[in-house]
Amino acid sequence: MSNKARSFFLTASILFLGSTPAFGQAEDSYDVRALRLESHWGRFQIVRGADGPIVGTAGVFRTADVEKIVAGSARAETEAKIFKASHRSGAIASTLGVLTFAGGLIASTNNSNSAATPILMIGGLGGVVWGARRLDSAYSSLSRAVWWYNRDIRN
Amino acid sequence: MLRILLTGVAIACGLGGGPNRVEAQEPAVQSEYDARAIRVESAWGFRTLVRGREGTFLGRIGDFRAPDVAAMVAPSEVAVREAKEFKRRYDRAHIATIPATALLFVGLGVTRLDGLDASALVPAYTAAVAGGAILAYAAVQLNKGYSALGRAIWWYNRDLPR
Repeated sequence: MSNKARSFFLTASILFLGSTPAFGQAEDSYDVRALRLESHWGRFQIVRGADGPIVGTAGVFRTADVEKIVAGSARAETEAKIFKASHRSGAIASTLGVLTFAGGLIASTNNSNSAATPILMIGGLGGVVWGARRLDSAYSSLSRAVWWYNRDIRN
Repeated sequence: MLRILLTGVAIACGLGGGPNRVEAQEPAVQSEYDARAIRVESAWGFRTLVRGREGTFLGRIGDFRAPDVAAMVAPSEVAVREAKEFKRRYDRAHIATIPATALLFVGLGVTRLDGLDASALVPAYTAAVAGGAILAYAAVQLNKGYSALGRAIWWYNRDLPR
């Protein structure tokens, strides 16, 4: 074998070995695939593996497609669907609640004696509380989705 | 004759627990995670630690004293280390929050008093700014603490027999 051919095979084998997981870390192992939630300024980061990459974030206004991230585990996908539904309604209710409450507050500071002012403020607060409860429920579903996904990893 | 022999072997395997033993082991291995794996859930703005499929309540985070997470994740070394990191940062954040809030509100309150000269306003504003800065520090600590908690649970669940 010529030197050129030898160096070609050596480079190819290094590249091939580099692309495969390290020994003892199969691609479907817990260390490589398992997810966890980390806190990042009021949002959750979905992190994969022991030192792995951030595969998504979940905040009030924007959230990753969790269903896609936990694909492969039926129970995790179900929880991800619940998360999506609860998150959407929670985010909308919270935002509308804050806007309604702010509207009522502005109306009250402008000394308007309208009966709608307290209704706006109470309705807004109600929306915020209901929205917060939905978001709470959504984050619990997200945590359960991650839990089920990790459970269904084989190794 | 061969049929009788095969039937006999099948019955012997059934009585001896050959294939049945394999079936019986799988749920037992899975149930370890199902029964003991921990996760964090959210309720009324508090984070609660729950265990297993049924979600048995373990403790609530958000009070002034966090539950002893290190004891919960005890068999896993890395998990215990992360749990201690969580507690250290959580306690630090809560210790900082009380004087910071007091400084912020007292400082802001003093600035709103009538008839104060400039020499009194400077320390009041300084207190308010210091309070705000300490609160920001506490928020950073809490943030890092919760990330450590996530890692502690991850490592604990990882080290459960699977």
